[in-house]
Amino acid sequence: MKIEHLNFRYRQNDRLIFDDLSFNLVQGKTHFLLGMNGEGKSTLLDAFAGLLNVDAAILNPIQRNEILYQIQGVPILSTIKGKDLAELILCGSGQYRSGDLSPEMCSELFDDPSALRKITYLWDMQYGKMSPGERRWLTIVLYCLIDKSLYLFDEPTAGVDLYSGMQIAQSIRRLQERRGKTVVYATHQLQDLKWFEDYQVHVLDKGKIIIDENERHWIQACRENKMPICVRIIDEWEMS
Amino acid sequence: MNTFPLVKHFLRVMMYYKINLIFTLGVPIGSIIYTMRPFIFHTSDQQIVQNHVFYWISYMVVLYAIINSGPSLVVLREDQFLKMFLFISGNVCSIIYAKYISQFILLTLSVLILDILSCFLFDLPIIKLLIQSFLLIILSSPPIFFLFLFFAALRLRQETMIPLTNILIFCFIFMSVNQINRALSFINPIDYAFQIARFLFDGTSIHGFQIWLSITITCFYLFIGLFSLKKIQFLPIFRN
Repeated sequence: MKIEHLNFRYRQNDRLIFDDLSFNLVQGKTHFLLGMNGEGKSTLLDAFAGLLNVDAAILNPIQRNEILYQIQGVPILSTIKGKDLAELILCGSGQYRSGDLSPEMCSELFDDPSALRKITYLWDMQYGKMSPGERRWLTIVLYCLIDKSLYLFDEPTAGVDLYSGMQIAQSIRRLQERRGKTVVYATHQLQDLKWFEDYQVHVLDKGKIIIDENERHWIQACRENKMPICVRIIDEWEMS
Repeated sequence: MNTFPLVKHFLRVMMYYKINLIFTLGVPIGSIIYTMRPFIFHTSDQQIVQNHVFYWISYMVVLYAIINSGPSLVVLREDQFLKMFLFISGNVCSIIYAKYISQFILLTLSVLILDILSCFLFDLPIIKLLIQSFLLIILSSPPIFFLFLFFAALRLRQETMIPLTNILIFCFIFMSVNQINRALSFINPIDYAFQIARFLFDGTSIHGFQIWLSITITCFYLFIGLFSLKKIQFLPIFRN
């Protein structure tokens, strides 16, 4: 899928969110979308998902039923258990039956046996009693079990500890490595990139993609670019 | 079928907020007992009592629809649950279908309780009343649920929705109690459902004009619902 010449502003806001933006989603690759808060990362994901009316040229669009979109902070009834959440998400996708569900079905997503123990532990725990990191991790693990063509993750590791963040990133990495899926991963947490090997980095700033490079060249491209956001990214990358 | 887990989830949510039962079941039971108190445990004019029961079933049909149709979708939209599930299930129809089924199940249970209690108190024929009540909710519930879908097509905040629906339900009761004008059943769904009950079970007062009016209103409600389905919004208002 490719978006060309995307211009967008919200109806009641004069600020131009995207200014002649172009973005090429390479099939089977993980695309990191970096940018400061409020730069339009989530809005760009909405554009990929076909939720915005935009006049951009969209080549090879992906149908809505082939997209999975993880959204930040959706409230779920606190009394449901982990297995009920699994039923809601997995059976709700139409790809699983209630009788198929068990913690063991998640084992393909992990190398670490402690992750499976954690899933088993959360399976019978009420959603409201899980920590925010556990909720986020369990939800994303369940998303990764659904078979779609394009996966959109909006700040999947925001507000979770480093270890849970690593587990979330590993689950997402499997989508590309083992199943060849296309992933768009919007984040402002640079340490997430360290869990991936083959990816493309897109830096969004003032409505434009100012960096579009692969895992080997993106940091050099940031060094050569003197925009303040690139300076901040370099500082953060070197600290992390 | 990917609707079943959603139906289960929505039923859980509805049972969690038990306070709604006061309005959906408590008010009709309280009103019937209060207004028909001279007939309790006495042989009475069954037609009068039955009409009263059918009026409050009409109220329940409208109240369940107004709580679980468009206004509920607005809450799901603002919580981003609608957007999340749009991509998990692949289409919005399964969400709306699940909403309808879940409210229909609880409506049927509430009507069952009301019927059994009325039969016990007023010596009504239970089988006949149960069949008639079920017929009434089967016929009147889908168009009324469709009518209230129009809320989901409007750019309304969830904070606006609760007072608005409360005001609407009081207006509907006021209009139906005062019988201002038959043509008002175009905008008063309680009158519409009650008219259906009268056509079905009170054959003496049927006029050709009333039948055509009810058919016209049914088509009008369904048309509004179909139009709203096309215009339904998925992105929360706070984001744009």
